[in-house]
Amino acid sequence: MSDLSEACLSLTPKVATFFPNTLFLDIGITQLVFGGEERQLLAAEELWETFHLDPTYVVCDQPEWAWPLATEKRVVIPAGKSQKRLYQLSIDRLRFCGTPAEVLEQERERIKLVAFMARVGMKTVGDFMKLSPLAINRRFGKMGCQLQQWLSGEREFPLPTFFPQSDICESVEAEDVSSIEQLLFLLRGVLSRIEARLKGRCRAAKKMKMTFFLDSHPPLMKELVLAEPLQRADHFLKLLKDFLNQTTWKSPLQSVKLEIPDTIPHQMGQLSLFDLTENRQVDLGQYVSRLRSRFGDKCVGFAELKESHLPERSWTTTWPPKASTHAKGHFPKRPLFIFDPPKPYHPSENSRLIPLENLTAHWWEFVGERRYYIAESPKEQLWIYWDFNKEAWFLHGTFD
Amino acid sequence: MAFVELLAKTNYSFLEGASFPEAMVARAKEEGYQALGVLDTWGFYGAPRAHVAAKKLNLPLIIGTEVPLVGDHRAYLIPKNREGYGDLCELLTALHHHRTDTRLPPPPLDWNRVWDHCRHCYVLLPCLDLAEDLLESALKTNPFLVVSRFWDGADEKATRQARQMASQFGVKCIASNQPLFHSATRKPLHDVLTCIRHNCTLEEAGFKLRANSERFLKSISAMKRLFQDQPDWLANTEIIAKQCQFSLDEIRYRYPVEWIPEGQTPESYLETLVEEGLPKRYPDKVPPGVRKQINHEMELIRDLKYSDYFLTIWDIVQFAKSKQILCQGRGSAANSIVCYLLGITSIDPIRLDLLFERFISREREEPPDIDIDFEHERREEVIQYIYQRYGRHRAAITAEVICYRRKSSLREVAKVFSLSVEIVETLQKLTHRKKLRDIPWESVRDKCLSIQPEICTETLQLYWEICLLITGFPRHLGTHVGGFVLCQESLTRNVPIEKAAMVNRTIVQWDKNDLDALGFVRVDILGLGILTCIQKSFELLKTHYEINHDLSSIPAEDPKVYDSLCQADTIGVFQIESRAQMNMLPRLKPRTFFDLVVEISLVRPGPIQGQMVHPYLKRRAGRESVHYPHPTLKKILHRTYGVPIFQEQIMKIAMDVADFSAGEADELRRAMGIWRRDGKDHLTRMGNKFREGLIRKGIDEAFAERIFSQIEGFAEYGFPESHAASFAILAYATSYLKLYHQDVYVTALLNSQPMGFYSAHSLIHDAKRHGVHFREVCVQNSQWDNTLEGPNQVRLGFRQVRGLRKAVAESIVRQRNTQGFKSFSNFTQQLLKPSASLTLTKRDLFLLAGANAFSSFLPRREVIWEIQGLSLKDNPEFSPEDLKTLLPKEEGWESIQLDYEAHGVSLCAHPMEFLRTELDRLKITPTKDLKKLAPKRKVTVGGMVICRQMPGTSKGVLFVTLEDEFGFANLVVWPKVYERFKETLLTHSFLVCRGVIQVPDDAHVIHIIAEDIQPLLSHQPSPSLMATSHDWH
Repeated sequence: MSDLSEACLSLTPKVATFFPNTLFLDIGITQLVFGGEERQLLAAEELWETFHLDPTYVVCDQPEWAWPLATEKRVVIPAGKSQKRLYQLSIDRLRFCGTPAEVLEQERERIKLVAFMARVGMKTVGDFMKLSPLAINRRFGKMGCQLQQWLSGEREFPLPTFFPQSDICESVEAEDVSSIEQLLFLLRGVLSRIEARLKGRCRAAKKMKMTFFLDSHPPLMKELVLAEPLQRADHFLKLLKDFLNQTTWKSPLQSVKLEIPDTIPHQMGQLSLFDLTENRQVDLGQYVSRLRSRFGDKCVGFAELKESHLPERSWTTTWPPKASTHAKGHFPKRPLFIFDPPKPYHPSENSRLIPLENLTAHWWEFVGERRYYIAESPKEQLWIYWDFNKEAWFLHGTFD
Repeated sequence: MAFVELLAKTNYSFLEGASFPEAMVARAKEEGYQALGVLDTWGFYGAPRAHVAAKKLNLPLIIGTEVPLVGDHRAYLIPKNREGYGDLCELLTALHHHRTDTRLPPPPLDWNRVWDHCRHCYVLLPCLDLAEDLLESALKTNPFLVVSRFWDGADEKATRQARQMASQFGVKCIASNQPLFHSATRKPLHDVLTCIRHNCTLEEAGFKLRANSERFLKSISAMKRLFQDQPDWLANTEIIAKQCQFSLDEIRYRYPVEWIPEGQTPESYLETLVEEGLPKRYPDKVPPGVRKQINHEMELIRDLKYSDYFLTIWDIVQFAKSKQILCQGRGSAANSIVCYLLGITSIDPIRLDLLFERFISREREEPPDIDIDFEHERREEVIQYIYQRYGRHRAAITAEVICYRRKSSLREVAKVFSLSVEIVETLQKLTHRKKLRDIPWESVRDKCLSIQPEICTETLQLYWEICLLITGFPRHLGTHVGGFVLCQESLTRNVPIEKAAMVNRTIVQWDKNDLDALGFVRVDILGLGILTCIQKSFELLKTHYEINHDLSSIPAEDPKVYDSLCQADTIGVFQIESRAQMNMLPRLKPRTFFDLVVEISLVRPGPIQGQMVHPYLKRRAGRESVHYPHPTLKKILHRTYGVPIFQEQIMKIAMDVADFSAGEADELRRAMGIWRRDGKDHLTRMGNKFREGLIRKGIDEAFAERIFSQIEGFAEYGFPESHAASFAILAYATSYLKLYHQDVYVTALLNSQPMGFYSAHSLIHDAKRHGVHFREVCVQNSQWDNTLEGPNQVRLGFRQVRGLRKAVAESIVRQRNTQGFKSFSNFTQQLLKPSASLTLTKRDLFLLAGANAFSSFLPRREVIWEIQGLSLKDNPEFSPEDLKTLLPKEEGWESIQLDYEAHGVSLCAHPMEFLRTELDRLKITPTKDLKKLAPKRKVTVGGMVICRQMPGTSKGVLFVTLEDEFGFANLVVWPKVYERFKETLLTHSFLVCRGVIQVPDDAHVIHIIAEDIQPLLSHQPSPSLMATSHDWH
């Protein structure tokens, strides 16, 4: 919406956006300047075609009448005729008169009002307008009176001024760059601007999105989910360095775009006033972010216990980390390190098999029944099981 | 050294055990167990079924229960003897007594309270994580520690703890595998049940599921191997088993000894009452055969010691009569002359030649079953009387075990497997009216893949297999519709009693089959709406016409009543008002009471499935000669023109022709009744024997085949003749009232709603066509009930106003009687002021205004307008400006919509009247002109849908009844047409149908075979107008 609104500023300086997906353009003041409403409408249609949109629109005298009048996909009412058309509408269109915010806020009361009016025989909006304001006030209070005022055009609908919201997004041309060091040097300035904008907003980045536009290949994109929210340029630079060191370029670089799509309010620690070393948690977060940046998101995460009888399913990796939970119950002796997947194995004749536990878990995923043993030999203690489905031995772990 | 498994749980530990008691017992027998202990969580729910199964296999059964203890502990309690069993029943009753919500587990019991009830019981405590102080407190009961080895990692710890505690406290241990299922293959089903219990999916269940499938009933040798280090623990189980000699057979259930006058025995007193009944039932002369039948029945009652039971029923009926509660025995009790003379039933079994052995037989060794219908609105009074007379410790309602059915299993198992709603809906449609096991897996797979191609077929197959297994599994305990168990001693020492979901109701933990198996006698207290209606009719007759009637004084065999029945004028008449019955009446042309009995029995799945309807009608009309395939059949079937219609006839044929003994004939009857529960195998076996018997006697195979089909049909919904006769009395009485006192009858019928086949709309419009005038609900005249304001003048009561509370109506009537209402504002001033005995709310006023109840003061719209302007905080006055507001007048269609919104009917006109001009333009034939048209002619009819019906026997044919201002049009929609116009048929309340007229031979009923169906209105009317149709399966 905001992009469209930004674009609509080319049609008229008076643009207002409302939730949900409602855009008001005051083209009255431009009708003489830009060649009339009709031309404006054509231009607007062209505009939202470029955005691949197919909106319902109404051209009418007052913005507060637009929604009730939107009974069809495209409604264009000649100047000065809107009110008459409005009064001919079915009584249920009453619901939509006024500012969008008010329509949403008063939705339930308005539905009741419409149902009541239909019950007492009111068929059109005009019927409603014939009722005395006093009688309306007594029955539906302020809301009813306001509705009448909207319909009569007595109330003013001030269109709020649109301010384009700019995301934090910075680009830089990089055609002449021939090494990573050069690129990092170039990006240092960009990152400084990002840091300044974040600081100005008192926010820290949760994510950073990088797009590298290449000469003859599709752009290379990477989104970094940060372990700890970051604000400082040098921190970003370390992440970029880790990523760029792992990256191979298929063709020469053209430009780089850096975006901060997600931020949170940044609480500055007291010590930060003096820009001293940040605490260890932040350091850890930075390290994890760098690891994820270097090895990929799937390879680095926090381990979390998961309730499952099946050993290889009893933990999982999460990102970001959650508060740890402890499983209740009695658990058999199990090794800390296991093989995933278990390895085919045949116990040697010298080893002694000590039965441990039976498992019939995750049958709905067709995991077979297992019987676990410790295969004990003078050299080692192995954790093995017999798979009843596959009729084979497997080595699943080793005890220290 | 042997081993006895003492702690097996069955699926009567709801959503915990995964095997039926029968399966567990059978498995124990197979494994060579000398005895088996079965226990249920919080009760003895499955004990009777296990007992019956064990008795059949000659396996000693030990029953027990698990109770929750304070501190998140539990104990297994096993009674040593009858005394111990009684103590446990009382303990379990106390456990459930403190349950606040039947959906939640009962609160745990205090330790000492449990031990106090365990003087004659074994107390077994699971040793794992057992608190030492708990064991210490239980020492006075000589407890045993239960040690299990589940191979789940805790075995070593449990063994260590058991040994340590045994030596520290000097207690003994027993080994048990605590089976939850009879075979290890049931583990998936058990996991699914666990997920349902915890309301989670398999993925989410985690450690709620068992690690492995070890908790099945293991063989003795497997247990010996498992506990080879502790043979004494195995041996201890045998010691306990030998000590526990209690069997459910020991429950010497005694029926309550009724109060009888001094110097009399129950038998002599019953005889006195029977003798007293003779002159009442036969004032002129006792017909021959009556005395003989009385002697026969009394002898049997004496020998089988059922006198007290008959006295109880008599006493309950006497109570109802003393309170003017209309009641009547139904079912096989109507076969008894004793019941007739005691006033329990209204059918003279001698006159109708009914088979007494259908009621009680010496061979059967089964208590008689007397079901009594009471006015449905006053049944609670009778129930509370029984509680009051016998005390809650001696009387309770029978339970009903709610089991998984097709839909519930598909739905709940799907949740566990995280399957989509679409899959469930698809399978519900696919299995509609079928049994899951009859659907091939391939159809299920293909159907599901067609809507969700990405679904994993292996998972789907697992889901389907679990659905098949879980269907029929008990889920929880419900309340039987009205079966009471009474006991001479405390019932709580015979069976645990728990609270039912409904307040003021208590239930035993066993269902009617369990009670029958253990010889408990039940008294069925049922509610029947039509009795309420008839009683109200009698009261209105007395008040308005000074006519005193009761069921017995209604003139019998009135030809005019039969005339009206022959014309199918039976809207609102009990049992013969359905579309099928109304079609049958003009063809059967009933002229006697027996014809009515046949009429009621004939339109049932039994005779329809056995293709007995057409032969009967043809023979009755003389278009087909009556012949009997065997001379013996003439005696049995002569009353029904050689066509078997009643269950009793089948039994007689079985005995007299197929050489069944009386017991076998009764077994055949029982097989018909219980095949749904126990499967069709037994019924098929009995049926085959029956068929072979007939063929052996030289009876035509086709005839034998038809009777066999009929037996299957009876198994679905069979009527014994006695039952049909009881209902025929009510059908005749209501026909009589409708014919001679239409105004009274329709008023009573409306005052007894909800009941019957038709909505208030249909009843009122039918009465209007019979000359009854209705007046609107009015605050100046209406009472809560609909009232008669003069001959054929009915004033609608406040009860017709949807959503209006009775207290509000009573408050209005009270205020009106004291002060009266001068105007609408005067009404609101009196009833809206805070000092009024019951302050009306704006909602109440709107409901009344919607029903046009203020029409004597102001038009409806103006009242609604004024109510909206009322300020309830202030004095409810109106401002003068309101009166200036000019509101548009209501138009006809608007009024109808508002009327239907308010009370489901409009008195101003039938909705179709307003559409008539348009209907004429479209050349739509009014229903009154249908009779003028020749058969096979094309016709277009239109009307309001008042009934859609697709009975199980119709093979997919939908019957739709349309109504216009003149009458009805009966549409027959064949499956192909139904599929084409399904959406229109099911979603539109006003339809136009083009079709062909069909007039079945010798009937005055006109059917229209639908070819094309369209909505009559381009838009849907208000929801209230759409809700007038009663849809039935």
